[in-house]
Amino acid sequence: MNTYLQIAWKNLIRSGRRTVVTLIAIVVGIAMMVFTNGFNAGMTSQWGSSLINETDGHVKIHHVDFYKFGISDREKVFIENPDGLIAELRKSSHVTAVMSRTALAGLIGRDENSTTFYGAVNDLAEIDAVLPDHGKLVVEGRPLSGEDPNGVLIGRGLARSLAAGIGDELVILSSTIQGDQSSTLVHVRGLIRVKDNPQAEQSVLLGGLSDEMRIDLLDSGAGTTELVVRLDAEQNVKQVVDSLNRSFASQGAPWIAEPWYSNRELSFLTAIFNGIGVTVTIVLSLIVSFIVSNAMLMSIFERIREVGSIRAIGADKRQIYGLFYLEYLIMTSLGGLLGLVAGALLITLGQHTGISFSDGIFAGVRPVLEIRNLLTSFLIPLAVAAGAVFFPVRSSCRMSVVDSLNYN
Amino acid sequence: MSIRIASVTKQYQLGMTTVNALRGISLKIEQGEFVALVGPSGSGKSTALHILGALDRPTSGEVWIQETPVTQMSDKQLARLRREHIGFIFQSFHLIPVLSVYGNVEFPLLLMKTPKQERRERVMATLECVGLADRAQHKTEELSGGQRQRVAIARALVTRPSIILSDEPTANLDSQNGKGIIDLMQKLNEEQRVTLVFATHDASIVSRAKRIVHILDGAIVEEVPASVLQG
Ligand SMILES: Nc1ncnc2c1ncn2[C@@H]1O[C@H](COP(=O)(O)OP(=O)(O)OP(=O)(O)O)[C@@H](O)[C@H]1O
Ligand SMILES: [Mg+2]
Repeated sequence: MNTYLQIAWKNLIRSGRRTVVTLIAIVVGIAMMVFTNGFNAGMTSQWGSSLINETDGHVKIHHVDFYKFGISDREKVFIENPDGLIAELRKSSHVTAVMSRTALAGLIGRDENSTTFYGAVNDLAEIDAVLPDHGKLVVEGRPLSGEDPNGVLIGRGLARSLAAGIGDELVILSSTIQGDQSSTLVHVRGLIRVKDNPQAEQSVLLGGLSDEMRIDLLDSGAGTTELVVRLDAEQNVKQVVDSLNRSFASQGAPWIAEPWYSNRELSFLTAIFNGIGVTVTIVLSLIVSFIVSNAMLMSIFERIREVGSIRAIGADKRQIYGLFYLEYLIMTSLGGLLGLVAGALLITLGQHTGISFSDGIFAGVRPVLEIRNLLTSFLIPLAVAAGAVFFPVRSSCRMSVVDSLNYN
Repeated sequence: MSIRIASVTKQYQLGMTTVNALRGISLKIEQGEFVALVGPSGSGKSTALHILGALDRPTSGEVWIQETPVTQMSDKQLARLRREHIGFIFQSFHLIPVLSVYGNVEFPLLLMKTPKQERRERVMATLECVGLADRAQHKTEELSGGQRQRVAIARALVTRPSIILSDEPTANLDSQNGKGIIDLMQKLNEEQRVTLVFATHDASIVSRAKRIVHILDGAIVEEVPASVLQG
């Protein structure tokens, strides 16, 4: 074995307990970092895929003031001729399906019970293509289907307050796009749950954009308030959104394309979770690098006399740095690799069992293993430690040779 | 290789007081000499030895090694000078504890990047010379004090330095072992013309030296050629 390696290795063995404690700290710290970041990534991607495949599609197109007037004054944000817009969207080779969706709100009643609701009705001819997993929302009954255009899904809470079950008929009182009072009859096809949002479950309704809806309730003709778009691949979302928005702006059209990830709840929670991830990374990095550099500090100061004698026989500072950094490298790469393996194992375990903190977005989260996550979990703490190791080595080299020989 | 120092002083600052360890000493040591620095404890022998061996820098004065001024050299150049031309032997051996006898003797050659085959030959030849060839793979803690000092001598010799400086090499040894060490050193001096400079209290070393330099309170008080002593 190379003599420098031998010196480093045997010194690690000689201070066995300290080495073991340091290794454990590195392994646990890095494994925790890997796991935390893997959980975050898993949660985000899980939520993202439920937004994309169950509710929001890849991109939504609506009026710039949609969120302001989408319920109160739909005429202001109405897309009168969606076919033109759809034709234009379909020119993009990335667009695979487009679905009309119209926002809806009002009163809903069964027998003598009635309550407020809000929701949306979708073009059922396109829903399977645009939202392939829309059926996953349904916890009881059956998903929306073109064969049953007047069958709607309602939140479990809403069903409870209306004392309604599958198959029951409901009356919707709402208004047309123009604001006149209107009504229609629908029946309950299924019950849905809204992840981590019991209030929404009290009032949500999803239905089909059937002829009855268009004519009786909305008086909307062929128009709608929103288009939901599915693309060929997730990585094209940004490019498509950008080019659509550029083209809307150049035409002076009032529309705006929104990517799935601009969902406010998602951005809010992912910001919080990224913050937690960054904090965990920083804190663990500091702890790991503190323990590593402390072990190295002890190793260096125990051997000041040895450093003196090695320098006396002609080692220059570079060679002294080399000696200690080799020791550091052996310890951290060993601990780091074990930590990565432990973290990866935890993630794999989590992928099998799923991890639940709630019954909604944190239910059955499958953490994901990303190379980027492994690299940062490995490199950040060890780079900080490498920096911290530098100073004791430097001060041991700054001592005069004679002083270090006589040090005790 | 010759060493020359001129008007060398060394001061240590201890809080408010200044210790004058050397008060302007001048000395010339020629290739192949065997010099003993003697004097009472605290007189400045070790300090002088460190300066002669480019281990330490003087506060003032000049040092030439092979007529090259040393005081202007960088730390890196000094390290190289020590690595290539100077061997040190210390009172407390200062071996590298995690390395075997072989590894300790090999170490200076590693610093010099000597090729592996040559390293092996030279380490074994040097261990042979100090009588430890059969202990090459032992740990240094398995050796007696005298044996350890011989490892240190081998480590100092293996680079074939032209000068070996030694600070009380026998002080931690019993007289038997001490004598063995001196015999060995004397043999090297006579057969290989290795320059030897000792700082010592040991009368048996002093009696074998060819030149004795008395230091008292940081100054050279007299130089006695061996011929005078023996006469
Ligand atoms: N690092 C230091 N800091 C302060 N004073 C020092 C230092 N090293 C040596 N001295 C002082 O310098 C003087 C000379 O010391 P030196 O070690 O050279 O003496 P010495 O002749 O080798 O003594 P001994 O025979 O005891 O080894 C002493 O007074 C000592 O106290
Ligand atoms: Mg001394």
